[in-house]
Amino acid sequence: MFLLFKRFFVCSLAIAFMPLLVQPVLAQQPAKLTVKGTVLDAASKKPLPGARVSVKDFSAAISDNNGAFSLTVRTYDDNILLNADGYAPVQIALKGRQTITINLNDASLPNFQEQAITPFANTTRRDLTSASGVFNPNGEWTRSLETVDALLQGRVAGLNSIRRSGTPGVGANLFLRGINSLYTTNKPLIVVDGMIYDANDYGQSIIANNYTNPLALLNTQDIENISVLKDAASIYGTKGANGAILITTARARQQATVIDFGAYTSVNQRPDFLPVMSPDTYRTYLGEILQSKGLSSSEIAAMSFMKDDTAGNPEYYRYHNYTRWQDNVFKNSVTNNYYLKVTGGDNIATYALSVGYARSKGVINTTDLTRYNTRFNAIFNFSKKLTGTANLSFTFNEQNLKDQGIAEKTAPLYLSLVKAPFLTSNEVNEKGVFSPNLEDVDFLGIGNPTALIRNMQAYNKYYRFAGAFRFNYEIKKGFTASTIFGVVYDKVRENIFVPRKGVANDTVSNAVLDSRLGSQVKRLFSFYTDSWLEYKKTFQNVHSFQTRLGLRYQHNDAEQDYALGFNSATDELISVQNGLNALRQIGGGIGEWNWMNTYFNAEYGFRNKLFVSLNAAMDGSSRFGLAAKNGLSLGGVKFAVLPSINVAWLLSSEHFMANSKISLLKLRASYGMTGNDDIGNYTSRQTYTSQSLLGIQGLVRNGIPNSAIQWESGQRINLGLDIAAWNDRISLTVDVYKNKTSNMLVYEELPAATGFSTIATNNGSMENTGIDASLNIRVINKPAFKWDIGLQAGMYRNKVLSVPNGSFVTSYAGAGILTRNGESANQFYGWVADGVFSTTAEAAAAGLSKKNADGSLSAFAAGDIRFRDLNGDKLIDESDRQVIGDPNPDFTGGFSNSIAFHRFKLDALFTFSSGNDVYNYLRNKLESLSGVENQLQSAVRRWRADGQQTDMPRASFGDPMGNSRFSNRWIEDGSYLRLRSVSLSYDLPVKNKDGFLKNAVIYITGNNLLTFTKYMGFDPEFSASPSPLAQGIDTGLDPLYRTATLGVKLGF
Amino acid sequence: MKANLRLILLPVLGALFLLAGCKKLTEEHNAVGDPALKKSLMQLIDENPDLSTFAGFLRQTGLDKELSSSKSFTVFAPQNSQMLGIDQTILTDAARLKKLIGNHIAGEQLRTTTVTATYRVKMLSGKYLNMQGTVIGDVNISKADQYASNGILQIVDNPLPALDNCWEYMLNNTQAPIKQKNYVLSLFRNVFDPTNAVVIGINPSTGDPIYQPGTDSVFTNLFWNRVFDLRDEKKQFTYFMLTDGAWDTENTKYAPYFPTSTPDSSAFTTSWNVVRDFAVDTVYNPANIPDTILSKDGTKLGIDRAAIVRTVKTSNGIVYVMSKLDVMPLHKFKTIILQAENYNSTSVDRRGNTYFRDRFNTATGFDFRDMLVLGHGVAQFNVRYQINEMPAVKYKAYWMALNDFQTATHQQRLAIGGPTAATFAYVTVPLLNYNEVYLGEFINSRYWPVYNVYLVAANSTTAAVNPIVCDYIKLVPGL
Repeated sequence: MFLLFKRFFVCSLAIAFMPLLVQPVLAQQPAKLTVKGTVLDAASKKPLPGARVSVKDFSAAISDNNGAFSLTVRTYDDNILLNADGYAPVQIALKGRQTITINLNDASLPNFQEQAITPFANTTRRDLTSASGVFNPNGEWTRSLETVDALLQGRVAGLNSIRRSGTPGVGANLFLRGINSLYTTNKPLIVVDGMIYDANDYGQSIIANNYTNPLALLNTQDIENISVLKDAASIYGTKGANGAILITTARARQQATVIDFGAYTSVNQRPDFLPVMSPDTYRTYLGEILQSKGLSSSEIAAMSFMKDDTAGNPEYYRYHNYTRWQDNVFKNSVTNNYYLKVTGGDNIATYALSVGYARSKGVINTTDLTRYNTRFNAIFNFSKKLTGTANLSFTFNEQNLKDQGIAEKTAPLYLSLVKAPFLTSNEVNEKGVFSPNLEDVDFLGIGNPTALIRNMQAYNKYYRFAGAFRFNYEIKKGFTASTIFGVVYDKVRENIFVPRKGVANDTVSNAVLDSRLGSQVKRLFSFYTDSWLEYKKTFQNVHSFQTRLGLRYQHNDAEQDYALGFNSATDELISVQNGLNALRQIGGGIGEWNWMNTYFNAEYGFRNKLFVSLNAAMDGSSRFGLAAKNGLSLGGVKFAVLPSINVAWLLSSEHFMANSKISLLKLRASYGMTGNDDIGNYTSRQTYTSQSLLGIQGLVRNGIPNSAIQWESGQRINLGLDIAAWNDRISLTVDVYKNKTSNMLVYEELPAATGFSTIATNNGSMENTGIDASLNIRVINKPAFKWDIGLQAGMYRNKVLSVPNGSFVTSYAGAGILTRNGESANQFYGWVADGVFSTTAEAAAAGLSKKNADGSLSAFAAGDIRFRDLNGDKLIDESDRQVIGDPNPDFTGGFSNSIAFHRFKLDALFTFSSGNDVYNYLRNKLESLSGVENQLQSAVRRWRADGQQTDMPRASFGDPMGNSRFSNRWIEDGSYLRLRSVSLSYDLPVKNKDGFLKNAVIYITGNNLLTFTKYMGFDPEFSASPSPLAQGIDTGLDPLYRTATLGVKLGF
Repeated sequence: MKANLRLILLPVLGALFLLAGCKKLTEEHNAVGDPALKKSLMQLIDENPDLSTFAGFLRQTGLDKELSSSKSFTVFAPQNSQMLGIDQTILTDAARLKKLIGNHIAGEQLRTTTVTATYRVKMLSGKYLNMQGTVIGDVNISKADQYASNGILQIVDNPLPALDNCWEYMLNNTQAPIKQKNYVLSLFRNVFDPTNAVVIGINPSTGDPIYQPGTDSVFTNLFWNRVFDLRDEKKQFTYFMLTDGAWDTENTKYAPYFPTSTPDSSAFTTSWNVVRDFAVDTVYNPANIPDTILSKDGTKLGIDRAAIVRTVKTSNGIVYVMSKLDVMPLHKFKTIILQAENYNSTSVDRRGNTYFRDRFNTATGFDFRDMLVLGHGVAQFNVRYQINEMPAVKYKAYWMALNDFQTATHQQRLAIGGPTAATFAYVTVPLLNYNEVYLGEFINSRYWPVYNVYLVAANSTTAAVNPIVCDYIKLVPGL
């Protein structure tokens, strides 16, 4: 490793000296040099008066009415800076020129002078040596109740943000540059105002398939800047394997008091219903399935739903209805959001204070999210030498939820799809008069979705306090000592109650469970501190040099406690203590871990055009095993040592590009080591778990400890190109990368004699290669009409290099997921269906059969699926599986359009994902033709008789031939192009700019308005789990929905 | 500006076009597609001009509404030409017509390819028809397995008449032999059946419920209960009816075996014992009827094909009218084996001294269970065994008794009719004899509905002398 590092360093030195060779060094001259120039508005081509022109730390001037200026410079090799209110700042290298003409674009144009945040400082994209993406969500007031992870969708090339579901606040799973690990986190590190923001969900929710998203506690309206570091995260040591997202929250931009108030109301449109069978077609299907279950025709004919006479049939009205159950579950809803931000201050302190309230009702009836948030950010100048900041925030969320996804008895959405449409939600008497009482579980054993909507309780309350203080002390010029310390206190409280009436019972080994009750508390306390020394110096205006040495420490304490109760005496007793004592389950977990990170950073700049950055981190963690193979051993403890180097060369600042149309051309290269410490708190230690044996509690070993467990090691190589041309109207950033993860955590199988099935080891490795590209074009640049288009796209190819035994298959929602050396990590692995046997002769000719549990063979007959017999043994079994899909997209990204026309502004963001395969689990359930559950309308064309050409197999109870097994029947193209958000705003003309009201903007925004996809489920976007081994599987979570927002933003 | 507008419009239009395309795909997936599945069976029948007569009858009987509903059916539709042969009297009788047309419709989906073994199909008429492959009842399916949204249409080459069942044949058909018919119809009784009884009180002394009179019994036929319910459409029977002459012959033949106290009751008992073997729950077609059939009681019926006067196919089997059905008494009267441990009562309660023993018979090589009453202390202790419906026949008596519980031998005897009856003398039970022992003969002179035999212990109270041990008692008719 060190050899590699050395080689790289030599290379970078060679690059460093290249400009010295290609360009004659100018002698330092004391003579006064001036540059004359003109500043023009790029849109109108008119002179721009009042623009500030400066050479940093040297001279400044202001353009006159003709836009002309004259500025003294040190050399004709200097960089001059231009700033003008309402315009994007520009930094121009003179490259020997003595007169220049500068076109300034308005501030809305994405440019390389925009602020980018690095772990240490605010800088500009121009000076960055690393691959990064920047997003300023200032304009995102309109997308009020988005979480930051979902907001980033389509905004940063290479960051694939997949929204989890349509539940308000649930956010998105983030994958930066593909998959870096199978079993540890793939989420980038999130840092808010210098503090690590813990965005993990500790312990599962007791509400089925619900995810408590800590990022829902971060109001996006507070966010000013988001910088995504893709390759330079080795400074975060073993937390930086997946890059980092650095978030800066509200600051006062000026000392005068500014008050911003926003009020929004949104209408959420329920999704389009899935086309399930009508009562008529369902009844025919039900008759068939009951026949295949073995019921005789007279038994079926005797069932109430088959009796069409009202006479002598008191249950006629109960069984002859047309209920669109999805109508009972989905509901159009409303979201309200109010936000107030006050900024201001004086020369001692500036502050930004914000409060917000939002209430969003979900499209699943009776679900909602209410959020109360406050934030106080302040910057203090205690003395000339001592400055400080304070960031305090408190957010409280309250959510009413329902079970979703694979919870077949308690998820109302699933039940609404499978429930018999001829039944009704309410009891009905023999005269057809409806009662207000809800129906109980029906004769088919399926619960009443309306009962769950009305009577199931599943709510949580969660809050987070995050507070941090930062002090900077300037010891002497250029030499600073800084420290940040802060705490996070986070608590989630959940309660559930599932009534017995209207809900199908659950069965456990010793009881039948009717009502289900539960309560859970999760809390996290985290203390974080980061202290560093910084030295900054520029020598002779040629060599700039910065170095930092610091220490981070984090202590975390997480706890989860839950109690589940069952069978309370009546449905009025809803809290957990009312459950039967004998069935009560109590459990939880405690996680405590410490992390220490010492880091070193050195940055060198040569003539503002060549930049080298060197980072190194040394990490210790309570999670690492003492016998870890790699790393540095200090006092018997293993430390991960993770260096990295970044080099950037600003070619456009070289003389040979003085008269080029290309305003910026930068080449970047980086090589670095990162680590991932998400290997479990106690994997290296022997732990015990309680176990009950015949009613006696005892402790048993909880797996075999692996004292050699260590961080996953990441190797990151990145080559980048930044280019801007045509007065910055076109800018392009392209990065190619190769990420390699070695020492990857895997679960190795153990011999049965050990008593355990697996052990965690570091014996895997994986690789990601890919390209990110970001392109911005200003298509039209007129004073009153501007059109920007932007494209952010990323593609990656994932390859497993080595896993134990060369491959393994995991399972999720009935899908087989193959991880095999040389292929991407999470491919769908199943059978191939070649249609349906149309005739008995055809089936007999194929001669396929399957082995039953008792060893006998069953032949595939007419109406069964013709599965491909890969090994030719005429037996369809496990060995006939092959790769049938890949959930990894070919490319993902966003396409943005921004049109400004006079006072109107239209922003449209399209997001897309292409080439990703989806396993439609929900459709599998709804086309399985194996049970009494209602099916999709497509099930009507199921095979009925010989000679019928169809793609739907016959209805057979229990699916004895496995026609609905995991096969390519359920694999669909999950590609989509979505009009993610479109917003039209009108900036109201305010007559008196100095009056009480300073500005007012009216918005109309639409979210998820259009989606172009071939996908047949509710929505092609979902993510049931953060694990890469569960991506692309549509478990039927509450779908995403369209939202239309009307809002107003007022400035005082 | 115009150009710009075009620039904006183009992608929008393109997007809309795409949207339309995508919508189509999902709709296509969910579409039924197959035009046959958009039609109900009734529409499918209507579309076939060859089935118009049948369709007309469906309308006439109102069954067309059923076939348009979303229940599942299989229709066995005869073509127009085959409908001509239908009895015109049926056409004017709405009930019979409905029954006939209903006999062509099954309430489930049946494919000729999946019904490979004989399957008894319930038709809407309430009758059942046998289906196997392309044969339903006695007719062939000429065009098989046409499907519609709510079922399968099979075109058959002949109508499927709704036949009488075996019972209905006997009851309604004038050609059914009258004497056997009258006798079977005389077997109707009120039989106790508490299924639908109304309880009006509890007997304070016994605790038994008191039923409302008239609700605690059903009017039923002994033949249904004791032999087979020949009305059962689901099952299939072969029922033999004797011509009056043959009936008399058989009755005469068996009269000597069933003398009772009155001539009427003797005749009744004789007839019962004659007719009880005349139904079996297997269909024997004339083509393959064997020469011997075992009745429900295990009696061999000798079938003389030449004696078949008439063969009547019914909806639930077949009725043979026979001019002779000679059942031999040898086959009619069976060996009676009384397992000793299954006794009905004892003279004195000595359950504490009664042992049921599992032993291995070294002579036969089989396991057996016997009864030992040891140390009961009662002189002439006896154990009673009950025999039902004992005909007037000479019997040979055997037992198997194993004395392996003491070193001394003991004596015991078999008593016929009463415990003191001296039919048989005391017999010494030898030690460790695993063989059956012949005890002698006795003649039963009249028919007994209930008859008792006894095992009687020695006239002693000494334990070693008065045990009773027995595996079984065997009474072999001496015919």
